[in-house]
Amino acid sequence: MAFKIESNLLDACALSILKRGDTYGYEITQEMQKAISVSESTLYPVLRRLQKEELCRTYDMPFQGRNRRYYAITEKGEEKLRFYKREWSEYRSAIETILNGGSNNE
Amino acid sequence: MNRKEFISALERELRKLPAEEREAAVEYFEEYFDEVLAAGNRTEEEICKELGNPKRIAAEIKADYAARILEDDEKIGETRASRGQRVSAVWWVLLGICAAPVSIVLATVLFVLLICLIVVVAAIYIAIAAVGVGAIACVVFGLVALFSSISTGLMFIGFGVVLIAIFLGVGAAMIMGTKKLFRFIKRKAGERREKNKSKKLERMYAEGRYENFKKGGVDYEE
Repeated sequence: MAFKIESNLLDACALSILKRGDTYGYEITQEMQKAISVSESTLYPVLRRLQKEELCRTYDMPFQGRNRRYYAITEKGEEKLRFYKREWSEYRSAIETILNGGSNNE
Repeated sequence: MNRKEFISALERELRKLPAEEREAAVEYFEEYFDEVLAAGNRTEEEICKELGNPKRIAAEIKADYAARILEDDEKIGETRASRGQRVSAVWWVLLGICAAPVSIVLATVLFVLLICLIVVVAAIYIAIAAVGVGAIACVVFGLVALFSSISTGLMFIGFGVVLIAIFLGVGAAMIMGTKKLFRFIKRKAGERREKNKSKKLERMYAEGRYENFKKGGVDYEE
């Protein structure tokens, strides 16, 4: 991939994974890695930020004798995700307009 | 590097963060190890390799923490952000500057220059004081000499009076000059601080958070 992924975009991706259901750190990393190559450690600051901005909350569930920390999207998080989606589609069409040589030129 | 070494390196790198932040990070990576090991196809060493240098991960976490408290500060304003929080935000920004090797050299040079300036100013003051002492000595010597030789006495009193004039003139000019100089330095430093504030933050983002993407493999050519 020739493009850098900006941190808001990572936030948006993480939120949309959480939107599909509560999940834990390792699974979120794997979900992301299915589509884009992010390093294994990239996600921690993202999740921490989302949590601190109250876009997601966490709870612990026992799993095989240890704790697994689950992340769940909050209402504020869903609102933010809708905002990111709107922004993204605007941004994408703006870039595509340029890449395809202007909106009136076919 | 094994799991234990990785975690303790991470802890060490994060020791300046509040305990809550540090513990959250350690818990996350402990859980990460548990998960991957449970999946059963990788060893601790392989996981460490994938995760990368704990120093870099810690830098990312610190940069994110700094950005967060600065943002909070702006949002909440004066009402809720405690003084401690603000001070620590400044501290993190400073750490960010000092992380760059070039800035360390620059800061050292600036510091040494400032010391030099202070020494030079102090030396000039001492010289002026010496002129003052010399002037008084001349006058006293002249008065004593008057008894043996009027001409010698008058000459020394004359020297003394000239020196007193020099002492007063140069001394006054020097005091005014010093005041102006330090006011100038203070103003310049203030301007720079304001101007650099946003730059520093941007650089921290760039160094801390985005650096990872380069090394982590997001930004590679196909």
